[in-house]
Amino acid sequence: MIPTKLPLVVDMRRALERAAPMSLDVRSLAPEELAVVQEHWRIHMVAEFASSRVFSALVPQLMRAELDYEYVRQATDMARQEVEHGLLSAQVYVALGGNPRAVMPDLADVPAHEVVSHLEAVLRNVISISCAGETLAVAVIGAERERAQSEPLRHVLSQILRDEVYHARFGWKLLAEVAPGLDTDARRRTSAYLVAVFERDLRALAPSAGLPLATDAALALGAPDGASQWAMFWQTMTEVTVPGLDNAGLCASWAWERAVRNVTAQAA
Amino acid sequence: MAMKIVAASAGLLAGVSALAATPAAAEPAQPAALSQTPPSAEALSLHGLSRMSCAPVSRGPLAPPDQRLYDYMTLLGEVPL
Repeated sequence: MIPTKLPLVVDMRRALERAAPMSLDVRSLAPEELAVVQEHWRIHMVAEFASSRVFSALVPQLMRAELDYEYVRQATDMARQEVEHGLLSAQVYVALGGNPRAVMPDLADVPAHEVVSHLEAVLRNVISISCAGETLAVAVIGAERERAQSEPLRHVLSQILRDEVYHARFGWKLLAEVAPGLDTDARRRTSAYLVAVFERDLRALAPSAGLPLATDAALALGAPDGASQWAMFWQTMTEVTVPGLDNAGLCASWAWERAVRNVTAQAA
Repeated sequence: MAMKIVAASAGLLAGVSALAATPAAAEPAQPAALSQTPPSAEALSLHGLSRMSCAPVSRGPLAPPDQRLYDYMTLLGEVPL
């Protein structure tokens, strides 16, 4: 009999013994508000921790592409920072009454894109990770920090935001260096791949469009704001990420419209 | 409160935009005019997820999509280059 595969678990309890405890005042929250905020920071904890592997996977890809030492060094920085964000988020989660032991999210592999050159392959991944994902994270966490009312929470969000800026800049800098050397076929392939990036991100973020707005008390402790978060994703993509990729010679506007059409087609 | 937050995010976008300020390519793509209005929850199809994995709204970047799950080759002829 084949044993049932158990879900992977991340357990931050031992790591937290070495971290300074945090105190947050949750007395103003109704039980349902507290539940929303706790769930948000639980997801924060496991997602940040798990995303460390995404940057780690970039290290051999950057090496194979023979990119500069500094890019490789920065990728190792970013992998460590994501682990640290997991711990920071666990501190908040515990301060909210959570148990910092939770099921790990899906640990999907970072694709190797074997059918294209090493340089084109790593560029695809860096665009998805930094130019799309981490650029959005700068906007989202910046907004959360503006809304945070308690100083310990603002401090945590400031640390995370500082790193997210670093992660986004990494991608835009690499793109600016690599994109001018792409021939037309490589730009065409990369542009077609952007449809996959945008469609996946749209599908990942779209459920927030149907969520209710959070209360002021929940927002003050970092809760996501439902449809407002969806609007922020849309704004960041259409006003920052897509124009930036267009400017680098990719057909990002075309890819975005194609992805939006794919995601909305079934409801039409 | 929601309006206030969206306005705050618009202010943030100016800073975020600076991150993406790449030098223009020798052959920049011709951008289309993009809709600034996101589709409503009703207009979104949240069902057809067979080609793509769906992840919760989360922090930390997701792994990029695997081309083996997405037949991008069929799109090559449509790319306006």
